[in-house]
Amino acid sequence: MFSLVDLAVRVIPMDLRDKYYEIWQSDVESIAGPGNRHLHRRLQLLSIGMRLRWQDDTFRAMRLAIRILICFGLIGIYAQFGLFRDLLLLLVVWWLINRSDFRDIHSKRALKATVLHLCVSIFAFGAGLFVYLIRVHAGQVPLQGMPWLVNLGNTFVVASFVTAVGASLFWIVDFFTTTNVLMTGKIFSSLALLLLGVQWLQQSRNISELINPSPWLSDVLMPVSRIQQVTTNLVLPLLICFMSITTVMNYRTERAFRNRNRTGSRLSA
Amino acid sequence: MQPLQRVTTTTIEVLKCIYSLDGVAVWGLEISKLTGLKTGTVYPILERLELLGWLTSEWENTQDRNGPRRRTYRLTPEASQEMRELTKELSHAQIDPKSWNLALRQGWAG
Repeated sequence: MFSLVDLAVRVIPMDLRDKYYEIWQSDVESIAGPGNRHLHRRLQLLSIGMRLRWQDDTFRAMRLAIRILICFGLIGIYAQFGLFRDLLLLLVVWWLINRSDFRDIHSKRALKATVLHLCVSIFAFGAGLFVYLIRVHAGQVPLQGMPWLVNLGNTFVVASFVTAVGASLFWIVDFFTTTNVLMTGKIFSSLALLLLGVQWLQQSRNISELINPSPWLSDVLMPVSRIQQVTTNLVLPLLICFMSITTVMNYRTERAFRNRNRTGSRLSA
Repeated sequence: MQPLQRVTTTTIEVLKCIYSLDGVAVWGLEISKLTGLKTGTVYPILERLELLGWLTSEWENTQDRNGPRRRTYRLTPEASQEMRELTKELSHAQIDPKSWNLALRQGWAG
């Protein structure tokens, strides 16, 4: 019969199994008493096992493969599902906030500002869709008769622009303050800036198509949308290149670091 | 003791928690309660810190209390020394991240 505990124990790297199984048992007994193994306690062991496996040295090649697969998966979703792009970006940025180094204060601020911008963007798109559906339902009522809708559309475009500019400023600060040797931080800031610009253009075009608040907006966005198409096509290969280079560089640095330590410990022995 | 490559907020929470106990050994579940982090997050961090030489761990002597033995952790003397100096700089870290970068990446490496 399938046992979650057995599975969780198998997931834990071989040399750590006894240690962590005992630690987990001790924790469970001190919280819930002997023999108490509720589902969430077993899931806790599985979570510990998975994380220990993920950071284990023997899992390095698999870790690299999984990361590359996730990158390509995300890029695939980004390219395919235009409507969910903002949502996907929001999830990725949120994940980056939690995973980033606590010393990278400026990039953390920039990431938070980007989250704010994406939230405004998603809300604006949702509102735009809502207004569009109302108009379709009412038989394409002209917006000129509803000034509040025109104002709403303009407000969203302006709010999105302001938050995008704010986030861009934080990314510019991050670009100038990042000091890592591999330049990955600077490349990341530049790409984030580019992506923000593209995202804002895309979102403004969506709003202008859905609500069409003012004729001037369509006139302005028409030539801009062409630039946006080009930049979207440019950002994706750039992102792929950046992720590949960063992954390979990190892998090489990590390997060099471990080799150096191994040699050092042999010499000291 | 090896330097930390990427220091997430959770790692700092764990380090600060152990350091605040001033040399008293603490077990994983207690750290989890004190920091509010899940044990699934705490144990892998403890394992990594131990591998890098920041922590030492040992099984608790079960004769002192009833129940299964617990694994207790404490900072190594070198890590305590570094934490002592770096805690002073914590307020500066809010303004100048470079001081943390230098201290963590060069000072702790050396």
